Amino acid sequence: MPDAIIQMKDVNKWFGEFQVLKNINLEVEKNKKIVVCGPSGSGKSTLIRCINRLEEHQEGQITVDGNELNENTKNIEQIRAEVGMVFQQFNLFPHLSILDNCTLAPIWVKKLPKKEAEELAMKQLEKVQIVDQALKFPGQLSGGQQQRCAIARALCMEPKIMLFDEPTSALDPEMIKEVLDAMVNLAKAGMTMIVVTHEMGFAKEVADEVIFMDEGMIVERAETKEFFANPKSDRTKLFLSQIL
Amino acid sequence: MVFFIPKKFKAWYFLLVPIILYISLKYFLFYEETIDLGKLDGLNWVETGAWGGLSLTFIVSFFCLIFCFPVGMFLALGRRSALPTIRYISIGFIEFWRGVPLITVLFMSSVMFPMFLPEDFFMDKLVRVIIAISLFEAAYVAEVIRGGLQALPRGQYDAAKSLGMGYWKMHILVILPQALKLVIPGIANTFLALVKDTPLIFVVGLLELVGMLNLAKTNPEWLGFAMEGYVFAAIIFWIICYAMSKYSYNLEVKYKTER
Repeated sequence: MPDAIIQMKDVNKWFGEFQVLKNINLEVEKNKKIVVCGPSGSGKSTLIRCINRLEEHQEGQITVDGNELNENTKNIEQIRAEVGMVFQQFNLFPHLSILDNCTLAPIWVKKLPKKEAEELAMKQLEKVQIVDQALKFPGQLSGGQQQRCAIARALCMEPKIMLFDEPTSALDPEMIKEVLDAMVNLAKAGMTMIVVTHEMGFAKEVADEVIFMDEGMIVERAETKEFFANPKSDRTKLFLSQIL
Repeated sequence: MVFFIPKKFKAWYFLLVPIILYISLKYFLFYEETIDLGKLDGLNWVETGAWGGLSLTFIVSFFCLIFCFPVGMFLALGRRSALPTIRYISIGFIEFWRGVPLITVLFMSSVMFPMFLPEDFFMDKLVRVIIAISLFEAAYVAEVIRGGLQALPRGQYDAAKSLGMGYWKMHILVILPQALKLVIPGIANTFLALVKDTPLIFVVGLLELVGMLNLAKTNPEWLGFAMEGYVFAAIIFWIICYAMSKYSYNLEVKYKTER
């Protein structure tokens, strides 16, 4: 596929003896929204962490936006700057205010002037509706607000791809919706997204395709409607029957 | 009040004192005329070997604190480096300096060290002592800072990396500010110990406050007043250390952002 922005070819990865990723082949086109689901320990997080090389794969090829990721990759920082990531535990920088969290990387990595970076940050914070919290510190915010700030922080780098690693799993049920809303808006704006989540409602609403993983393998990959209507493998059926 | 610490106290205020003294002595107070010592110049060159007393305590502590901190910081980073050469050098350095007593280090620096140097090479004794203590304390500071680095959750590294920061940007902007904040009590601990270790420089013939006291009590005129002298020195040390611990506590409060 020529216009695939992420390409993974026969990717294998081991943690010591344990094989976490087995022969992963995955192509993601630009502007596609992919939801990855599966039981815990199935390698979903590892898979998307490999895409910006927070984890190193041992075998196979990963290409992101035309750059292959391997030990020789010199411009890994540049690639990471184009791939935004949102974590389960938010991982905001607690020593900086919300605004500084958002402007830190644009100022120091993209070398934007401070004023421009702040305008950009305020724009992104507005999108996730926490402008009024901009001068507070992460510790003073609720989980949902922190996660939305984390989304804004990633967006401030104006990435081409956004990776979400179980963004709602550490949140109270009440706060899940506000984060999902921010993500839905982002999806509608045309961002390329890979989302690891258990929120099947979100998957049904925005995903183009759903990937089901188990024991390090991609068990099933299908269009969203197809995936929920008639899943092919038994493992997927079992999984869906348990969570729906 | 002795314990008065201005609310916006800055460490560099200390630097102003000698500068103001120097200028006022030389240009405004006309030192030599005031004390009428004839041809004696206002500010004479004094050999470092002849320096002594409380000023020496301050000089040694101050410079050691300044030097040992960055060295310790780099050692702490080095010990966690992914590059084996840097890591092993750092481990070796830290374990060596932590494994030897300060008194032998001082002795080596003043007696043995010059023997290894070319004859025309001269390094002041005080400078040698300051370097020795700095390296010694840097090993301790390194381990304290490493503790702080390890206390940070891995997610902070991940987040910094995912925003496209390289090793140095990540550490300077994200990791070290948090780690150093965490270890303020530990660093203050080490620094207090350093200040109280300075009397050991008597082994190389430098006499700071306690050294001077030991010298003074042998004066026949002051026989029998050793106790008073020691109590006085203890009070001075207590004041210095209390001020430092108070300052470190202020720093903790100042940089507290959680909740």
